[in-house]
Amino acid sequence: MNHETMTRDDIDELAIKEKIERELARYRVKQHEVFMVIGTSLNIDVERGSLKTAEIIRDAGFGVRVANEEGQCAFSYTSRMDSEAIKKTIKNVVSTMGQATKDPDFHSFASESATTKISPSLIFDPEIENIEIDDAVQLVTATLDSARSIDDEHVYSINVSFKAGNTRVFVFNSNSIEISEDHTDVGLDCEVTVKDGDEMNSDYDFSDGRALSQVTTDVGARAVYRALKTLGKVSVKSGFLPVVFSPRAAGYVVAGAVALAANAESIQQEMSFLGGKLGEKIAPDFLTIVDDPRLEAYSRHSTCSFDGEGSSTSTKKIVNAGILDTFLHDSYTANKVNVENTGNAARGSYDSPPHISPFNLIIAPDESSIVAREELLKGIEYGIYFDQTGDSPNMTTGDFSGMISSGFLIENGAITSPIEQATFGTNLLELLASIESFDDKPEDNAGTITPSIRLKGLHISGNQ
Amino acid sequence: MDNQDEEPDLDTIVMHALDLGVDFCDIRVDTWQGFNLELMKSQTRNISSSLGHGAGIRTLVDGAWGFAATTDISTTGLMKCCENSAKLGNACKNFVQEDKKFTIADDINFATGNHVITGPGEMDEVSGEEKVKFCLDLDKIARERSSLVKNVIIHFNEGYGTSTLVNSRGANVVKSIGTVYILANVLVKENDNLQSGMEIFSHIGCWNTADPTQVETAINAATDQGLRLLTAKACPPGAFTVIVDNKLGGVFVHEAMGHACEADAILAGQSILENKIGTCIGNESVTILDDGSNPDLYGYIPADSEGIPSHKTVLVEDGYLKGYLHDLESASRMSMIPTGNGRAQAFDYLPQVRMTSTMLEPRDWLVEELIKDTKDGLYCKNWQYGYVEPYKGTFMFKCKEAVMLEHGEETTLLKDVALSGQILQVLHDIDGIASDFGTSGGHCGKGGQSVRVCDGSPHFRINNVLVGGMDE
Repeated sequence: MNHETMTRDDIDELAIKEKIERELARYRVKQHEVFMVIGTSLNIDVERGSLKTAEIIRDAGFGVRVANEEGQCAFSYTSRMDSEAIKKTIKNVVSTMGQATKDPDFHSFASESATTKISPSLIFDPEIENIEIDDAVQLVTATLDSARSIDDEHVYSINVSFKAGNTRVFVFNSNSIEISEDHTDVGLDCEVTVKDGDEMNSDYDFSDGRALSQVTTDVGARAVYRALKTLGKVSVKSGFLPVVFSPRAAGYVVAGAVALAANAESIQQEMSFLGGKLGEKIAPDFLTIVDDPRLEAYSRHSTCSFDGEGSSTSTKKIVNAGILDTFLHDSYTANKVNVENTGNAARGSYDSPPHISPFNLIIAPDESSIVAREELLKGIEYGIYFDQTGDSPNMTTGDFSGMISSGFLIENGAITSPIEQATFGTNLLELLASIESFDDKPEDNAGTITPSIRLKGLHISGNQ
Repeated sequence: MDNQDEEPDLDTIVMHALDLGVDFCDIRVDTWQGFNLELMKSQTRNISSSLGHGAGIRTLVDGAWGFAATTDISTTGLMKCCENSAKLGNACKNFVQEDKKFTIADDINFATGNHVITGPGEMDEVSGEEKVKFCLDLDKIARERSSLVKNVIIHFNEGYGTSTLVNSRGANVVKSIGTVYILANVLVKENDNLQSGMEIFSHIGCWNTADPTQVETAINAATDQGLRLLTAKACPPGAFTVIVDNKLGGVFVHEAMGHACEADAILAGQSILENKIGTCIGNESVTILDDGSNPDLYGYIPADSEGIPSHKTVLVEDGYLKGYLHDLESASRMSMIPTGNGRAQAFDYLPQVRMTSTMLEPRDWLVEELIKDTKDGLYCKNWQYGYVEPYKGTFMFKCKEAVMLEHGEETTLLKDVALSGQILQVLHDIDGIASDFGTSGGHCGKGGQSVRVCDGSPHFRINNVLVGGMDE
């Protein structure tokens, strides 16, 4: 691929900004905020060892929010940048604003932007912008070779996918925020299906980051090892069993769920089980959960200088030594209850208004609760090593039941066989209270950094 | 960037691709407008309107797909996009294994013509103000029903889009369709007990053609469900005989069977149903089909994203696996006929094999008889979500509420019931299918893409379903 296909080509965002502002001025809009994205991505998929698709997606557009003195607020977006689309979009958003209900809780869009920015070298890699398709195919091929280097008759299919993209984000608003940042992303995934007679299973591993040098092709072999371990399933006894969460399960079930429940919008809408619990103890003293959008270590998966409203991102402890320390806010929820905006307005792209979300989540346990990985299982005679679930908790009540989609039996302090279909049930507050210890090898799963976690137990329902 | 008003000639772009040496090319150009509204605590949050357009160009070179997408649909933009696509196809062809190479068969009948299901301007027939007022009225209905209602969250999503598909084999089809999707979530609270009830309304066409009374019925149902759940108990874990209602039954058919029948999963070596055509995989009363051609159902598509007219495909007949769902590629590689199931979320996504409206055919039990006949079990109603892992053959879905059945009588109300099972076992475990039938529309996610689908089912009974829950 030549360079022009991955660069941001001919879009002049400042000229577009001027046009948008000129249109907004025509309608005497009091407050506005524009979020513009210009990006290109290259994706390659390999299926059963053979290249299946290669694609280049070039995407550009902007989303605009407007508000008046009465707090009527509306959003509109367009994937076009031409004058006619700008005119229509502004006309649309102004007319939609008139349809909104009056909201006395709306005060203003974001007012303070980032004064210090992340070093571009941490989040932007010119090598990704200039990647040639042959280089990308070579990475994919090397990943396949890595997977094939594990010679095992049970390996049934190997699928690899590669993604690389560059994006410019540009935010400006009527409170004089005007800020932009370029970033790149890269990811290499390998999914392996294994088969033994009628038993079939699959697992994956991936490597991702912001620079090409962060992805490693040994993800192929790692995926094969993971998949092979899932063969030979045994059924599980039912009951309240000791459980150890793998890092990927811990990231989702513990860190992710707490961050989701700490969303200030959910709190204000009375849709979260953490409502009314700010400043209260919700977990053991040794548990701290941090949201660090300025993380410089690990994959830097969601590292960025400003959020989807242009506010500076900041590092905060959601849970500090067991105490629920802060909710995650955007400008609206912060203004509504008159607290500091935590800069957690996230945006998928220009086509949706901001929503509250964490960036890089870290489970940071106190030293006293950390043991060596091999020590974590010690003393468990019969328990479950819980690796994955596709289920999500009921955030209103904190009740959480579902299926363990990947898990292993722990017998006499060691991981033994993979487990057959089993379900679990708990309440997230009970789950937090039952955390006993952590291992000393935190892992990074797409920007969520967690060790393995040992719990007193979960209600498990198995077939035995 | 200011030259986007000219109408590009798509045939010229296709010819350009062929000149570049590709074997096959298709172009999808989408234009759309949307109106979305979120109502919370009687206030609009995130009220939005949108408009946009974009094009995706796919080229096949020696069995390798190149794909490029752009939001610049001027002739220059499309030419560049076309060249990128062909360049990718050419660069990749050397990495396609010989046995994976395929061509698009000569005898495929691609769709042509205009399918105007919704006319341009229909979305604007009802003003935004009226739609906001309607949602505020729904909020009021729920609040007036009980003082325990603490919050009513309404997501009102209306869209209208035109999608044009042209390919190098003569497909030339234009689809103009509006859709409405409303999700109502009612939160009720009594002391510290917080519960919610949820209902969905889906409709093909814009809001001007929808029946508002159906949404009012839905908000009442959501409120009643929330109120009922205040008294519900946690479900005990274990293996149960389960009767599922129409809505849950539909999700069951979609998750437990539909996904595993998608031929791209078969080709990728990721479905437990590989090499199972013609084998008995379920009880003789089980017949399952997919049919995107019914315009009354939310999974309706006149033709798929590859230009294949939609039609009925039998997946399971009298317990025997009869067929898979196909797109152009899977049909070609497996020497089958494309079934019209190649669907993309939007212009910037490659089509994947997807379901449309998937249904289990009714049989002869009366629902009341089925309940009476169940000595010990669960009657599970409505769904929260579901998912499947076709390679493992396991599926899982969660229902909002269930009632314990004891000696054929409905007794204790239960909440948040998680059901799971094995694809290859569960259809054998169905031992009673009722004569009623109901459908529900929704959105299905796969490979990062979401498409609208419809699931249809009678009530039916399954033995030995593993249920997750908490001991109380």
